[in-house]
Amino acid sequence: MKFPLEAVLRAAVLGTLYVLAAPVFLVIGTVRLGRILTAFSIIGSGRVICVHCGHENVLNRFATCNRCHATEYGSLLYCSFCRQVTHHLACEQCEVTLRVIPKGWW
Amino acid sequence: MTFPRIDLNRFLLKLLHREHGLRAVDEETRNAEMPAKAAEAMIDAALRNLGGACSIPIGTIDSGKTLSVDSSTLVASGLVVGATGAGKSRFLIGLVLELLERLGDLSRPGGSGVEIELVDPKYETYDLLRLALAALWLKTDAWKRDELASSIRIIDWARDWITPSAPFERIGTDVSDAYLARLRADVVVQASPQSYTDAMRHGYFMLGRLLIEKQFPMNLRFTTKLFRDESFRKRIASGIADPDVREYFLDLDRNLPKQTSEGLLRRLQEDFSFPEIRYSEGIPPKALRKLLPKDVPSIVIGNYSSRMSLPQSKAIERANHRIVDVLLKAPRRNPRRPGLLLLEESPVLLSRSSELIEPLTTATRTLRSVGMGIVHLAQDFSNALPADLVRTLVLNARWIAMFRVREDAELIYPHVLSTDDQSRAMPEAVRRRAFAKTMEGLPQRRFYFHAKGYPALPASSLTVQDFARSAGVSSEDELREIFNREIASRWVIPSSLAARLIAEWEAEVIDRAEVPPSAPGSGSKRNPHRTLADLLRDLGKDKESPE
Repeated sequence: MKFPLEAVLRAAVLGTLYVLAAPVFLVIGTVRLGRILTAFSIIGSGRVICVHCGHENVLNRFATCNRCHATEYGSLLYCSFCRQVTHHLACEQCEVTLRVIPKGWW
Repeated sequence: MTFPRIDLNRFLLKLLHREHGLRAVDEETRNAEMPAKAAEAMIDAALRNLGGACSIPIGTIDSGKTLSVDSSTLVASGLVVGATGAGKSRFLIGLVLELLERLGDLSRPGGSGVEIELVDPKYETYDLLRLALAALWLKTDAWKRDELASSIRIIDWARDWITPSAPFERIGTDVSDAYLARLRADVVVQASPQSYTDAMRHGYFMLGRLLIEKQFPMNLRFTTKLFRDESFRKRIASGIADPDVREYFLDLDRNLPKQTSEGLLRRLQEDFSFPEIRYSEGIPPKALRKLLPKDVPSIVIGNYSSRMSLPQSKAIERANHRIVDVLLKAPRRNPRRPGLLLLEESPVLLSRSSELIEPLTTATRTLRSVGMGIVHLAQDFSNALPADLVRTLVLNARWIAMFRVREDAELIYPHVLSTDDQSRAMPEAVRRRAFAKTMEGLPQRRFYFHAKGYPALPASSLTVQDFARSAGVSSEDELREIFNREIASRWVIPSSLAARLIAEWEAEVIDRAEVPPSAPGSGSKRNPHRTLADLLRDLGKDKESPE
């Protein structure tokens, strides 16, 4: 049986690449986690203050999903029927778009 | 090899869903239990804060208190929405009269301290405002009447008299000829019920550039001769400074196919077959400057209704030309003097000119810096205009007055406070439906007023008095006669005078140029007169020619 040198080398190179990339992923992950935690602290409070007019927008309401039109009690940012996550909402008072959950890696 | 992708947000929201649902139920219950007094206290606070240094009363709320709003809010952009007969026009008249009363200072040079421009494509608001201004003129001290009359300009037309306008007159130095010509061409093409091909539209655009460059009016005879007579065209084109326009007209046969130019002429002929249009747009700008008063009016009221004597498209076209004028001049206006552009039946105007939408939405966003607001009046705002335009206008409106409506109730619902126990006990969706139903059946003059940052307040608009009775005259017709005689007459000219001025211009520019230019040298030289016999022979040859 021939020693699978090529497979071992491939695994070693891949492992090295992951080790080298780990600090980058660590930084990205930390930033992302920080932003998600900030977002969820806002979601946890149940209120989003509009940066434009200062209006306090309530997040947990009896609302209809814009995508599947299911109506339920819950967060305005999530529909339990179609599993749609909304990252932003319009201020009730001045209709400025408020980003609550960060989108993408950054 | 890749790691499985986990949507952390979705995972966490799913995890918290039950908790959020319970909180939403709590929120609804809390809203239902909110004491009516708290809601009323919020309304009272809004009433106090809406007023300011210069409060303008616009209505009364249910408790009998006056709903007064600071003038700085009211002269910003706004929306007045409501079904026909709901009281929009009378609300607007009341608002204009209050603004004139509170901000109008006739002792200041230039007239009133507020500038108002009404663009009305349906006549009713124009007529009401005309009556109101005539009554105001009658109630003004005799020595101030002239000043008041000179601060009002009317734009109207009939068979025997017209308000002249010059769509192809240059507007300031910062508006390029090409941009103005493009806006004019777009207004004409989009308002017209006839179809314009791309080449035809471009032909109109280039014709507009020529007219602006030469400061000529739109004239059918001139255009016909320009398109058909090559020597005349060369003569006109050679004097044009803009090389683009010059080259276009010098090589017109290749740039504009014969059939297209004839089609364009047919459309112009149809437009100019109406004397109102021929006379009001045909006077050259140079003559117009001498003809009209030099004073800059504070109040401009325009009647752009067709009144069964003109096609609606031409009336809309004229209204849109006026809006273009106002918007292009706005950046140079005095920012310390508040101004309002009131657009009656705004969707009717905007839906006929897509090119106007861009400057208008930009203006709605930016004119605040020069102290000017645009108030749109509409019946079915959300359905009559494109959704993105509705959104832009709503976002930039500082205030909304919502009369009897259907779908548009959604615009104001989030700002409505429930004061009665029954509606507060309802779940959100039921309350929303109940509000929509209430808005659909609102009685006349009832409306919700919402200024940004405040809750929507239910109110009744102020009663607009009987103008004839308040001014002490027997009928409204008498008031109209007084208005036409004392105020409108300054800005209108008889059609006969317009016809004479147009004929003079045609004689100067078209007929004089009819003399064919001297033929190019054919190579045969005339014999020089060496003897008296030569001269007599030559004279004999030409004896039939005119002296």
